Amino acid sequence: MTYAVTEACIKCKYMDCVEVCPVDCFYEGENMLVINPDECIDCGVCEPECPPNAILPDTEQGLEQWLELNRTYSAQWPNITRKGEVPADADAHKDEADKFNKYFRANPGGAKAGEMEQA
Amino acid sequence: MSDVQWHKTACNLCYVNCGIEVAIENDRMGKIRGDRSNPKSQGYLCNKAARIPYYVHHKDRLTTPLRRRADGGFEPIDWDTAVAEIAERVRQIHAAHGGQSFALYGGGGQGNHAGGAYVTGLLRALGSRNTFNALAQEKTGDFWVNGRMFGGQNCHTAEDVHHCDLLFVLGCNPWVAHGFPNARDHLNRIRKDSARKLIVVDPRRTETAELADLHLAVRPGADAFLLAALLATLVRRGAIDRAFIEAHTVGFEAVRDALLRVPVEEWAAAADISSADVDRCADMIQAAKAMVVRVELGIQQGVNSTLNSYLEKLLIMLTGHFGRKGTNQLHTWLAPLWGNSQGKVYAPTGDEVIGGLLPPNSFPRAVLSDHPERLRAVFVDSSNPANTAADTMEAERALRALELLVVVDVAMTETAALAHYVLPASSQYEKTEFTLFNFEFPDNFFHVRPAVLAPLPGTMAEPEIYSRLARALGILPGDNVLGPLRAAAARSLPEFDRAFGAFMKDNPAAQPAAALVLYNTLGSTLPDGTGVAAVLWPAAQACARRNPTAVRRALDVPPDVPDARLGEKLFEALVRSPQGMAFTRHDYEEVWSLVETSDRKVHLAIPEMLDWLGRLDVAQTRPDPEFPFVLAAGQRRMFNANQIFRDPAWRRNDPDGALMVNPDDLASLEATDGAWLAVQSKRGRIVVRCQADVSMRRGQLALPHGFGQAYPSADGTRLVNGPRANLLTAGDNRDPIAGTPYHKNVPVRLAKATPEEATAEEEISRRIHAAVAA
Repeated sequence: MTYAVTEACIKCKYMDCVEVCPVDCFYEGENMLVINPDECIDCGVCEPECPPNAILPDTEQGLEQWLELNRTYSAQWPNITRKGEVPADADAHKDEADKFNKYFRANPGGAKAGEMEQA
Repeated sequence: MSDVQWHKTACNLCYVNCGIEVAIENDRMGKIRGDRSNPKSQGYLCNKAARIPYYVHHKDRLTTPLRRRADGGFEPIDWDTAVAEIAERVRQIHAAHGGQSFALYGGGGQGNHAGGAYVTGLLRALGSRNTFNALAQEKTGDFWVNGRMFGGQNCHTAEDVHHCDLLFVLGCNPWVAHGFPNARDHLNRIRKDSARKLIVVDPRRTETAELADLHLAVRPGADAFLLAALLATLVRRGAIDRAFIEAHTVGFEAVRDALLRVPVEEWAAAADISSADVDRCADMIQAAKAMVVRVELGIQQGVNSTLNSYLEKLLIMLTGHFGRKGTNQLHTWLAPLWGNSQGKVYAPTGDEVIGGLLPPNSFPRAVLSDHPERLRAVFVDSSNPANTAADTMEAERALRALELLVVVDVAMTETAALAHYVLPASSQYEKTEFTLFNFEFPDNFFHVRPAVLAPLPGTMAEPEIYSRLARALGILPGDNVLGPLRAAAARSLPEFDRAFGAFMKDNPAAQPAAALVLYNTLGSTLPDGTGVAAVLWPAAQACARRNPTAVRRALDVPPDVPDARLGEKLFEALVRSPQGMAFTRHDYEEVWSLVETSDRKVHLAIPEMLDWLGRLDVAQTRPDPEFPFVLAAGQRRMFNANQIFRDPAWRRNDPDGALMVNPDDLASLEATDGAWLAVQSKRGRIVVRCQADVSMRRGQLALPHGFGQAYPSADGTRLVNGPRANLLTAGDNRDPIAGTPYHKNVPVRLAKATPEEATAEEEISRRIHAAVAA
């Protein structure tokens, strides 16, 4: 019983979800967030907060890849509990297709994320 | 431009009452988030809280007082007419039959206790202490045991789940139903910490059982046999805390002797638990440094309810897991939610009055008997007995038989539909509210939450409603009398205190209605419309007198403030803390100051309970051949709550309130998942949608509570959404002491619904959910 962050988050990362999560279970990668399935309490408060509708309950069909990705990277990436600066081009990527293949990066996010992007 | 304002308030869906923040935009409630500044819940909330706007804004809110017409329908009337007519009927019935013929049913729900004090004041002024409410169909067996063990029926155990190393969950499913602060968060923490363990006793493999180190899938109705077998095992092993027993309890020998007579293997088998699992459970308890026992309705509404509560308390006491960090404790009260009425009997039904409350299971008899003091007039406040009391047909017959039924509620409930007068209350977010669900230790919390929305036009807050009735009845003095008190309150709290004390001394007749006097004097001077909190003035004084050190710590009061002014400081903080506040802060060892026996010891031996234990017969656990299934009538689920949610749109799943059934049982009926089944008990028959679920035991069924409400469909027809489970329950399937219903053990049989029934139900479901989608 968990929610998972899916492809629509990539390169958008609005982080509104982080502000409302009662148990601080979001983890930050370079250009997306994930949910730790062992910490998520299935409250669903984050779901309507996400502008590109990237957060889905695990009861939805076909989420296996994303559930796996959330589990894997929540163990590697740093915890995020406060909304940071939204990427300037977030709106431009909001309705884009195939973002995983084009942009996904396994690097952790956080303060250094912007610098890595430039490097 | 949108103008979104975030306001602090609390969730009203379970008794944890988590602090929340709600977004108000154009007089409507939108988003909900956890309030990180709430000292109890610290930002936590669950899946249900986000749906609160469906409680606030829906098509079934009442907006005008209603009067029953001779033809059975209702007509709208204005408030002045309603108050004058009700007062006249009250006077007539009172003159003919006296105060004993009146009763209150309800007096608040999971989020609203503020009105309860005021309607109670009105009833007391009429000479009645008769109160029926939900606590007396859930918890009074526990209160009875507490009265005998701890010396007061409102000595109530707290559960320090957050710090335990063994959580023993008995008859509840906190992942879904919560019951302690931040439940899911803490269950996750226990699961992830190999040094902390979880035992779950539940017939069903619940969501919480899935997380457990040990799940004992007890046979429904056999909890007492399992608990006794476990206790006997611990005693036989010597795995009890002799030093604790010696220092803090009396009566151990009688308990030990009774437990040594328990046939452990036979009773474990009756509970369908292997002796090896009983031993494993005992091993885990023996290894625990700090066990906490978390109990709920699974045992309290199960067979042998009061005995279950006794055995559960013995488990805590014999193992010495009490009064330390991570164990069970007692807790303080700002004001006790229930009373202490040991030894009192209610004449019309012969029931023992427990915690000052009468059991809803006896409500029909209290009305329909021929006893001279039978009930003739009932005020129902925030309660819906036509759906929630056992045996719906009998409850409705009693409600119809009353000479006066007044219902105060926010919506047209099933009970309101039977009333002579219906008075529309403002919703819990349109007025200042609080609850007395303050069950924590060592820090205990209180939350006075100001209104976040304006009252819906035509509605009124309960204190105002009862003030008007009290004024019309001559119970509440006029402004010429109250004016000086109001003026004193405007000057200062100490001045008000002196004036109020003198007034009450000079006007003993006003004492029962003190709450109404407070609201109409002190209340008018309180900030942010928190006048309803005026009734907390004497409560704050009493709490500070009882627990001066703990109040001082919680409020961080400077040492130069004398104890005599602590109550005033506490009251001022209460009405100015919209995020909630701690009102007492204890050290763990101070728990013994909360025990009310004269020797401050826990009295372990209760003769009635030891007799009951001695009379237990395993034949009780065998299924009834005529009704071979055991139905839990009133299961807590992800999207059910109490009756206050009436709009079916609030649910994100389980739209029809399905009957959960083991797939093998379904197959043996040759029924398919999702089909319509007929459930037949000795009291009634209902048709429900079924849902195959592997978490259920064979022979076990569950229906949710919180369904069975009528709601206007798209074309305005009122359609009933989901099962009215109490059409199946019988008033006499109840605890012999507390009168609490055995709702977790309703014997039924199952059959496929007829094709006609299935078609009709499918059509109703379709129309309800089409209205939802629209």
